[in-house]
Amino acid sequence: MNILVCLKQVPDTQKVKIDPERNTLIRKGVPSITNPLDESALELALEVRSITGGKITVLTMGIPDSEEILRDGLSLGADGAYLLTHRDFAGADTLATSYTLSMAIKELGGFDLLLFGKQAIDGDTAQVGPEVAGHLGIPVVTFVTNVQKTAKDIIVVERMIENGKEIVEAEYPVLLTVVKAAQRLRIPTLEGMIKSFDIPVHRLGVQDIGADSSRCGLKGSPTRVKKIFSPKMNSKVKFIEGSIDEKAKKFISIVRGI
Amino acid sequence: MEEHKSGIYDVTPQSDGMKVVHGEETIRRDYSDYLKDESNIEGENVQSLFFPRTINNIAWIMNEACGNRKKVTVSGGRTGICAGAVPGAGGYLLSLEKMARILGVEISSGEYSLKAECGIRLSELSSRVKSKDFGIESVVPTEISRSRTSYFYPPDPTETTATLGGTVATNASGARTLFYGPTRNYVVGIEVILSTGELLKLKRGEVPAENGFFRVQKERGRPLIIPTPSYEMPKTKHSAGLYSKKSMDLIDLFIGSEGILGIIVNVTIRLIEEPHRFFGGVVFFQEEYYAVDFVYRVRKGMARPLAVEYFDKDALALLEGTRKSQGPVSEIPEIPVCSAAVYFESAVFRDEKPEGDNLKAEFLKWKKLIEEAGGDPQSAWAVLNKRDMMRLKALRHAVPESVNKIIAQKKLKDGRIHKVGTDIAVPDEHLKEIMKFYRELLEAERIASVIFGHIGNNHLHVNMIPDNYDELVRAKELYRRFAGKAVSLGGTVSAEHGIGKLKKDYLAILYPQNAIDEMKAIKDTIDPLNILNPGNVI
Amino acid sequence: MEYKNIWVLVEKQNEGIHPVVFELLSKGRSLKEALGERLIAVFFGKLKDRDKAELERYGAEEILAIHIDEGMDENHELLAELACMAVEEERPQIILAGATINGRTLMPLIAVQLKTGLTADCTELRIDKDREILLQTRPAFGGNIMATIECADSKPQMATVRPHVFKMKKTRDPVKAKVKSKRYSPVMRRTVRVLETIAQEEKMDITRTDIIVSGGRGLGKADGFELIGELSRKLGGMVGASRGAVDLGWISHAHQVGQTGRTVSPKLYVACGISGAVQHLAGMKGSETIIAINEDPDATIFEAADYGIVGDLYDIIPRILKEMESSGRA
Repeated sequence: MNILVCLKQVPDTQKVKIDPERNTLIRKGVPSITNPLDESALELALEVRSITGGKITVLTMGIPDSEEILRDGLSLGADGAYLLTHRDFAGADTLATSYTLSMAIKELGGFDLLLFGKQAIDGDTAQVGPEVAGHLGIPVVTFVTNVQKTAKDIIVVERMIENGKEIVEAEYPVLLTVVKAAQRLRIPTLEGMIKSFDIPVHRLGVQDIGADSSRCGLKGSPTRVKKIFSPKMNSKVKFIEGSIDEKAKKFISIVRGI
Repeated sequence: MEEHKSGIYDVTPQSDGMKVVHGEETIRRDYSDYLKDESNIEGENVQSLFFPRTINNIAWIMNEACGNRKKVTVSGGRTGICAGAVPGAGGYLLSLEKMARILGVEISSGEYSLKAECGIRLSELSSRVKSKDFGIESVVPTEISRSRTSYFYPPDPTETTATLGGTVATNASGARTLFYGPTRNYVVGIEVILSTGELLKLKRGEVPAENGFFRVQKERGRPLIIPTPSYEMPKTKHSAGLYSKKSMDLIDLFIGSEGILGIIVNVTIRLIEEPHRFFGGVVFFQEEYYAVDFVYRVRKGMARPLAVEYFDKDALALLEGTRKSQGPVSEIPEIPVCSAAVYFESAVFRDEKPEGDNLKAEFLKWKKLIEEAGGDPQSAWAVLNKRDMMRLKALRHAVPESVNKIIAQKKLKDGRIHKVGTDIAVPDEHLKEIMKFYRELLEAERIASVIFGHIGNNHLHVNMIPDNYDELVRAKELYRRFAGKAVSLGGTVSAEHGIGKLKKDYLAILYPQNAIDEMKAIKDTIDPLNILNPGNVI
Repeated sequence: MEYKNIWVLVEKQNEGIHPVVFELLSKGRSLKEALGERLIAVFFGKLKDRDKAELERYGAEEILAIHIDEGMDENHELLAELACMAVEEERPQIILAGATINGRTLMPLIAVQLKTGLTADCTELRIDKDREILLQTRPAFGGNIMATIECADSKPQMATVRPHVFKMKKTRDPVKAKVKSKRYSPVMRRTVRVLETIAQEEKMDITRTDIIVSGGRGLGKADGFELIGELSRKLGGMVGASRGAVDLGWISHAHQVGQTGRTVSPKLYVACGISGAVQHLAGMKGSETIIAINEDPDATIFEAADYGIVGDLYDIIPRILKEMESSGRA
């Protein structure tokens, strides 16, 4: 089984602040981590591989520093790692990101199972997984909670639906987006950690994956962020005054506004 | 930072903006959290609970206390486990949680220091230091704000919600104390409100012991003369009773004094450069003996341990048992079958290249030690990223937490039952002997227990979990025997938890009466009315 | 042909239509007025009279009924294929769908095929009248940041919106919607098969809910959690608790929020009778909106809260429950 896991480096907090002068996010001093749901995807990949055998490749797109999360993947037992990093990739929205990832995936070739975290804790879009599947023209199963069965030609997974779950069977290649797993990501073994330092992280640019640079990064992004702002104008608590009735009514109106 | 000259100053008493709650019943009903700490001991009723916001507030409270002959108990994060912050008598209770600002940062002769109010939590402090975001009230020198170097404050007590003032008052330790030493080593200045309401400013190096006395100038009037202690402390990690050393500094008398000499209101700490990269791991051993042997090998070997921590098989079983209750253990993969586990932490330092080769070389050193000690690098865990480090930290924290949960249930059966947890350390060469002693006695008495903690410092916590009152009595007797043994080996009865209100009996095992009398004499000089933190230490 | 009109994709729920569709139609009415265009519901499968009437009631002026074979209406690849074929023909300016699990799977597949932008989980939609484009506002970083996004040079403009974001409002002057039936024969691509569907009660996991109502020691008694439970049920959420309440044995540890319990970041966190120990705050400060109810105006919990109600929770919560009953769904 040839498995791909896509990882994203994200800030280790959701409490980010906006620089009021430049209207950009303040990233200084905020450490980076692997997106937690991507870790679930990686854990799932490791479980599948322990049954089926085969190889796991980890892939990310980001700044050179994103190599760290690939290294973490290698220490857990991934067999290969690729980092898409190039100035033309910067500023990508989900369409451009998924295009770039899909071009890399085509270039690397031969994956049976492609695993993504359902969404990242910074963008919260949950779009990149399905969009990559769209670019590749392969089926996608979203909101996967676990793998029930793997066989030579098919995989059976459980996924969430609005009010319950469903069991889905798919042939390879298939792309899964993974929600928080019951089993937490394992911890690397000392042996695995030591081995991982000998595995290179390959860097890929626009030419390496045969991508059309006008479809990558900011140039390839149909959406534009026009403005960012804090939802709370001040961090001060707003006290609800008045009679018990008024307080109850106001409570309900706040809850409805959410 | 403000001018900082050692001496005693008058403070104008004021009471503006301070919250006060009056009434024993009201406090017991609505503020019961403030009457206990992590020891789970319920304190005495107090008449007033104060939340001071300024030094002036505290000076005013102390004046009131002196005038009305009220006892004063001081509390910070209430994370202590010897009931130091629990009211030992009625009177006033002060929670310093509202005094949590950073007052300034500076660099002088290459040393980076930070001054903060006592109530700041260590978690808040460390994240502010990390992000160099000190709040609007302080001007940050450009050498700090522009520099790419990251700094940190090394003391790492398990409870990160502890306050800075509390950790200074108790000279708190953590896992990394093995390498970095306790809180004391990082305190360069303190400001203390004395029982008289006067403010004592102390800077390290400015008030040394001379001819058996400390002499400290007052703003006006005659100087305060404090006798210096003369007893000898154990040569281990140690935090029991007042500090005593030849040619010591007055600041060290206050650090670790558990509040009996004054209220530490501001603290200036030294920050140091953070290593490039922390890393660590957990090794699982089939025999306890191998684990202890591993610790001896680590000391002699080439690896550089910052922390070496122990989990015995009962501690591991306890952790697995709490997995289902979705605590922090649920964040951890299944623990391999074994009889003992050792957590280690190390780092690649600033002057070394952070590249993979270097890290690999460091991990290889550990691998060699593990193999020599009969451990298995295939099953050992290795952690390099922050999140995994945090997961293992949570795992260590979960042991005492889980014990407390079990004790709480036993308490329902018999209210007299409480945890009997030791805090004993011995010199390096006696680790094997004390370990053997613990095992023999615990097996002979058949009392459920877990052993965990700072094995690198020969400082293991034996937590006994009595099932009934009879076992409680026997457990306490065991504790006394453990303490006696440790003292006979040149060890201490309390390496980090302090004495508080619960461990005074053990202080008497450690020190002869004349040492305790010296402590009392010091207390009488500084707090003649015996107002501050009644019941602590002596 | 020019891109024109607003589409709302109709998602089914049980035998009827998912309420989010009516919320989107309600919002869609104001958007289409700003643009001077038409509001169109896109329905996959056999349109029943009842469905049609309901869509009309919320302002659909036209219904595009796209044929799909029986039992295939949860096949996302096929739905996307059909939707794209319809877009090629009809050229909508805007496509909206619910940010449900289905919507969040289907919409990206459509967007990729059309090579256009998609904005997920919008909380506000507005028309920039001068440029005739859709301004889409959405939270990121778990709601700590809001971003306004536009897709000016690419059509259609696509967005998903979570249930309960927009109010459901019937139109005062419903029109008879013209039904346009479509039948396409897409090349069937390889897809997945649903083997089994299991409706189930979610296992209690407070990290997986959007709404948490938590109780603390301030409840004063174990029974207090009955009231907390009732409020959380009414809001469609779960019950949380502080360590104090758990330690007292009032509720099981599975409910505990905080450093030794679970870390949660729901959209709404209601803290009742919780003083706000830092350990608790550490576990819930990532919540999008925090409402605290406490008798003590100085309780630390108010420092973390967005809204504070000072008062006795035994007065306030029953009043909230009563008020919710008399005014319908919250």
